[in-house]
Amino acid sequence: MNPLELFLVFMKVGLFSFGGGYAVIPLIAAEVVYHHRWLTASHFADLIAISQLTPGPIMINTATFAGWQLDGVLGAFLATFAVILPGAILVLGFTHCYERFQANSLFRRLTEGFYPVVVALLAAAAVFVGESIDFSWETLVIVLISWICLAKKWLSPVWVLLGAAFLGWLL
Amino acid sequence: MLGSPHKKKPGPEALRFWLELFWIFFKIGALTLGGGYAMIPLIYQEVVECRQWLEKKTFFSGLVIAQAIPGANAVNIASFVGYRRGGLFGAVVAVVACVLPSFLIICALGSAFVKFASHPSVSGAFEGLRAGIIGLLVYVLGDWGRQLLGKPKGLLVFCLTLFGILVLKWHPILVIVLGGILGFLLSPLPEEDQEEEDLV
Repeated sequence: MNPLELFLVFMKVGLFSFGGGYAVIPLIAAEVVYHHRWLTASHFADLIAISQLTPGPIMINTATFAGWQLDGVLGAFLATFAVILPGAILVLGFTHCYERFQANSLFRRLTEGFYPVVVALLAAAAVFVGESIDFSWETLVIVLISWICLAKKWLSPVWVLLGAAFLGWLL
Repeated sequence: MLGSPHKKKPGPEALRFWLELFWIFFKIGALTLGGGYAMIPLIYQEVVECRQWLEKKTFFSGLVIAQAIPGANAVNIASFVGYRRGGLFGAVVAVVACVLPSFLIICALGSAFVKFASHPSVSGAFEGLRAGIIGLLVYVLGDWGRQLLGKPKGLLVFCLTLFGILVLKWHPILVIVLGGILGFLLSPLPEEDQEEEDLV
């Protein structure tokens, strides 16, 4: 396997990863496990477990870890860079023309129409994160405390999350 | 309209801006377990609520762009915010900062990470962090959801989207596209929405 091939494969993944998140995992598996046979299926399962535990977007973590497995730090760098690149370029293109979009009534209508979808996706995210923890009175207390601290604006969100991690470690 | 600090001449103030931009997205990258939409509330809180770097409306336009474009939403949002506030270099700083924490963790620990992460005290902290993220999601959800109250069409789109994801377990992309189309068709025509400036 050469670094260029690694780069191209992950750029392809980045280019076709509409929706992000878990939607991308089958795509990575198809490339890395079945097509190029760089990793075994059990390796790939480990990789997903790690990506879930590591902070940050799961798709990027999966790419970083797969690259790391294949070619150390260089591989990790290439895969991460490649997977980000297509989206980043497109975002910059769109953002550059943002003022023109904003003036366009169709785009404004699209943004407004999308609003309830975004709120629903956020609610779904809360449910998915909720499914990944064992609910006990401790976790419920942490959820409540975090929510109250944010609603009363006692703490900034970063401190709330650090505090939550600390409480989780204590309890 | 918010000014664009990247136009400033190099100096202590510009440096402070770059460090702040880096630091915000580094924190976001380090603290969001679960990825994807779980990262959005934290970005929103830091960028819109705490620092007023973007207007709420602009942030939502950014979300729509991020969603429509391939790639991880959180990273797309990071490059949107970085570009709006700091031009091309701002986008690079935000994206690198956002990806760096997990990149460093993975490179430093590699496979040993599984052992590290399943250690009781570490997994306890992760559990707490997840609970905190739920608290954050619930808070932002309350804030954003309030605008849907009294808007039956919006509520309908919200319910159908949620139903599609959680109950029917349709592919997220399908649900997002269908929900977006429905929301688009149901939202007021451009002529009418002039007075609804407060919607987003």
